[in-house]
Amino acid sequence: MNKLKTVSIIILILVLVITVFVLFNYSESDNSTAEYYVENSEKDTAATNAVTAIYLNYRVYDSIFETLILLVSVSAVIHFSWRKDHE
Amino acid sequence: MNDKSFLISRFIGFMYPIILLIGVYIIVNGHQSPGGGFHGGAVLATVFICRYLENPNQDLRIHYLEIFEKILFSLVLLLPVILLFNNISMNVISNKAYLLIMNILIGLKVCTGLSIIFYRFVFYEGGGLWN
Repeated sequence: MNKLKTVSIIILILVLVITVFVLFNYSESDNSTAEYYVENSEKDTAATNAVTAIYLNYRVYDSIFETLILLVSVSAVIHFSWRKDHE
Repeated sequence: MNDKSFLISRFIGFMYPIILLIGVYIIVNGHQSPGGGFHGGAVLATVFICRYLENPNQDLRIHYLEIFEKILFSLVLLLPVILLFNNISMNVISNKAYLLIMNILIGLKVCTGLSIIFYRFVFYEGGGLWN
């Protein structure tokens, strides 16, 4: 038991070290997509709000599946209801 | 909830149109100011919760709300497929109309979905209180 604890602590420290290494080496982020959205969103989609331009035009798949998630959760709530009758 | 509070019911009657107005404003102005369909729909669902607090009866047809939500989801699916994925060239007015219609559809869909979940939990759970 004590040995297992020691091994798990060593693994945790190793993972943390690897995470810090990766973060410090690959954190030169590429901002070209964000800069494109900020510069061209109003011209492309006629939306003053850049967030709306993203979620209704550039990333519309995301909105569609987000509404699908709500539909599926409503179906799950109906299916697992305590009373089984409709109306 | 048969013995409802007088204060809560009066205050909800006062707040009811204001909540409705805020929800519609957030949905309709979603492409110009912070907001949009999801937030506005959540605000509009509050109206149904207020309706339950004011008048807890079961005359709301949840079944029709479910059908309405499915129709709205198919419209949300259909509109970008027709307008965006075919690479139709759109000008400023048609783009704004598309954003407005999509925001309204998503707002109504989120509103009906959250209301269905709330009314299901209120009326259909809870160990036979409403039988």
